[in-house]
Amino acid sequence: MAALLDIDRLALDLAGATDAAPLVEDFSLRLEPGEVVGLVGETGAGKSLSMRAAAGLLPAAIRSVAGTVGFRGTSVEAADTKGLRARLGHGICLLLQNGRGALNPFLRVQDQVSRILGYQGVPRRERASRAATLLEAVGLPSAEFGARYPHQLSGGQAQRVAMVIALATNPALLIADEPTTALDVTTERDVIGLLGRLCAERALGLILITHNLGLVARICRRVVIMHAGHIVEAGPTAEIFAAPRHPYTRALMAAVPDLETGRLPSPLEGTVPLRSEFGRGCRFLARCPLAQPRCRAAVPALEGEGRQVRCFFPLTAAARPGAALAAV
Amino acid sequence: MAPILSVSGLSRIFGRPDGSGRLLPGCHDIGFDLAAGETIGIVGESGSGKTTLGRCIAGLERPDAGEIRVASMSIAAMDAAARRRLRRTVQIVFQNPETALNPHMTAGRFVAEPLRNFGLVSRAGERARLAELAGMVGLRTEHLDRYPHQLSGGQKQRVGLMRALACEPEIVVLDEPTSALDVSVQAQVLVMLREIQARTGVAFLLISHDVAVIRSVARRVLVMYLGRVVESGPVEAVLGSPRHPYTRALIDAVPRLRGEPADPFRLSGDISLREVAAESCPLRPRCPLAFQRCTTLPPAFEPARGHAVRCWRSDPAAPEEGAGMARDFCSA
Amino acid sequence: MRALLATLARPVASLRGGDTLARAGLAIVIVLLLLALVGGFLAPFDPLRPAGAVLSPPSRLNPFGTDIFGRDVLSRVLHAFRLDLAIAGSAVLAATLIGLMLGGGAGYLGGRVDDVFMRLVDIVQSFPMLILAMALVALLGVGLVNVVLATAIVNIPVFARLARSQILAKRSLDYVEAARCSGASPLRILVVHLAPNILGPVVVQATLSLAWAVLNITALSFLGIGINPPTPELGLMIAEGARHLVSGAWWLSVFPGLALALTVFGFNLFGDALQDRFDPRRRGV
Repeated sequence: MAALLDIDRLALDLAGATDAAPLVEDFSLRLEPGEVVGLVGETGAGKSLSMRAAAGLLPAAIRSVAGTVGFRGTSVEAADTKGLRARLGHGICLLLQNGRGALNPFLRVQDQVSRILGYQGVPRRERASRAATLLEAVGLPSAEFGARYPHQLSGGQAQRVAMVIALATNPALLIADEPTTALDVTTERDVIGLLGRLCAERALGLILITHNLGLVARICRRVVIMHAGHIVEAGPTAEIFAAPRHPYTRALMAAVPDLETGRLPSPLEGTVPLRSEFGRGCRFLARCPLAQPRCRAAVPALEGEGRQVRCFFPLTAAARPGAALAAV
Repeated sequence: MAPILSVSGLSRIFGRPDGSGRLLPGCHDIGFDLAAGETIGIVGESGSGKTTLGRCIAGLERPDAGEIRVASMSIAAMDAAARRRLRRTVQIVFQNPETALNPHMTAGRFVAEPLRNFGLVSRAGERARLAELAGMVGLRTEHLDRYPHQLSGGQKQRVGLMRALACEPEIVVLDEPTSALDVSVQAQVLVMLREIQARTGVAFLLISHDVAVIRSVARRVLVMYLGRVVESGPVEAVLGSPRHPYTRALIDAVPRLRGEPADPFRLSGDISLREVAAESCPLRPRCPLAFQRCTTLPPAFEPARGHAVRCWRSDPAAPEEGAGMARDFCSA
Repeated sequence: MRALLATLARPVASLRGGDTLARAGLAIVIVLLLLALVGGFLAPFDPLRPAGAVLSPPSRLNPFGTDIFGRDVLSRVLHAFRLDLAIAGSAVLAATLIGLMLGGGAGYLGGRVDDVFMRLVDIVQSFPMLILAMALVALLGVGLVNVVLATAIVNIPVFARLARSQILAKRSLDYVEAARCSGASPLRILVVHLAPNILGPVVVQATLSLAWAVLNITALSFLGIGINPPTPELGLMIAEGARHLVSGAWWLSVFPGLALALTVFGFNLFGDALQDRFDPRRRGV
């Protein structure tokens, strides 16, 4: 069976760049129908940018320099913006951080949804009932919420309406970019839970872009971790969080405050390198406590089947500090 | 030892009662003490009134009722000169790094303001003091010559903290200082706060919606809901074995890396003033454990020393229906 | 003060590196200001005395021709332009200062003062500006000072409104409150923290208003209730020339008209280009 989404060796760079230091390099991601994948990294890791590129929505300052994006068996060059955009609303849909921003402030909730259904060719007399069904599915009874305007909704409710609008296009793949960052934890739990459930019910593929590792642990079977434009580790969420193999993954996990122990998180030193700071070697070099001379000379390849890691000296399962060094 | 900050009966209410008997936004009847060099966390959803409380303490908002005593002196009783001194003693760091700095000023000039206004160092000593402060918040001196748009979010937040510290305060109100930052930067800032406190003996009032952040930095915590403190006490007690349904729901909602709670406790709906009657427990419309007595506002019960809970389910003397359920809930 | 000046100078200087329109606007404004300064000395003849034959078409001696009294049109245009710019400039400057104080004060104080003040502004603004200026001149009497006054008064509401909205938007910003916590006095907050951040829109508005004020003054004079003859003034000259257009003496009104159009065009271009330069994020890294 063909993969739902198959991004192959995507590379992105500044539109006017003459030197080759791609912002995103060697980005490959395969998603089976109904699969839920988390895409994680700090600000500047290139996670949003990569997915925007796959949807043909790059900002003018950035262009795709290599790679292809396959969707349901048809492959399109990553540079073919028109070809990529044609898929938006026809199988691929985006869900953004600010739910209210995605809604027209002058339209009642039910009219927003009906309008999208209209674009999808749903006959006029069926639209109202279809809209009501969809709203019901996200826990917003149409009788109570259908007649409200966006400003009369809370942040969580607005995000749910945005979700309905995404679902109204009957997509096979949803790309959600930090959909709950602006919400309270309690609301976040509801929205993320709903998202996970809807995907399972409708066999909807989901890419959840987030900086919150806990959310990934909650609903994503698989996780992809990015740092400075490189995928550094990818694989089953449970396995990676149980025993991370890339030093970055480990450091990112250690930076999350732990509610059980109340331990002070251990900070990950430094910041994501800027494009001008990319060297010939591993882009995590400057922040890595385990860096070796070899890491300076070349970028390690993303290696492995099922569980992939981009590191010359991956941490072994017995994650004793320095164990990786001893093996050299 | 006398607390550095003592708040009692503090209320700041927005809007006028409309006769419907509904609760008004703001904060209602808040009281607590903050010791010198201590950190108290204030946690709650947006709309819980925690920011309003912080702004009242920082002097940016005038309370409608109640008393704020700083170093045993009541703010209301002060003359203008004393108020100005107090200004320096209580500082605030804002949530949004994008609006916290004057876009037309270099970081160094912005931070130098309080040094000059309060006459804290001589002009000659200014540069050295700025360098020292920069070191304290983990910035290099060259960052001081940059404009806000040339700094990253984390760096801007450090400049904001640096300005507060430049005033040589006794108390700093930190209003969601890390919620706009990446986890990696958040961890750096949290560690830095601990170091600064050890070095300067400043007391922090850490406002956050993230219980895990509060847990790792604060010693005591106030949990707020719709303007009222619903639970308070040492973090291990309040966040380790919560007694209030709201605290429990807040904790169970936090996403975890490994192992979610098997049977998470949930509230229904969103935080909203819409259906809340002024004299009832504010959580009543959302609480699955609500019963008859919840139509009146519960007093603060004290199940353990220093641990206070505003919930009828925690009433040790409750003879009537529901008490058994409370015990089940508390032991869960 | 240095900060204020730097806030002003930098965006203007940055226009040099802008697109063609921005550079054109900057060039026109510089030339116009230079002409206003030294134009009088460049004028080959006395603008009030005959300098050749009556109604002679443009020639090498009189590049813009002469008028019905034989006066040199070029010399008159140069003098007239300087006068118009001076009147417009002082009127807009007065309007800006008064508007900032009134609007800023109303915004800062709020409450009843604000309500009453804003309704007054609404009333003033409900009249077309030119009609209001005409009424004011009629009331105050024709003359140079009254033209300046009338032009200033009709411009005040625009600046008052602008200052008020800016103060309201900026006074509760985090960094302003942080400055308050830093022990800054209200005056210092106003001058150091608020002024540079509201200056951009004000300067842009002043530039655009200047263009409008020049038009307003020439219109008043054209209608005969502004500057009195024989003073050289663009509106007046266009009005005089218009009577002779049919007889073929096109140079009488066309050259002052062109000067007027160029002035308005130049300042509008400049103002528009300036608009997005006041964003500090556009300063170089």
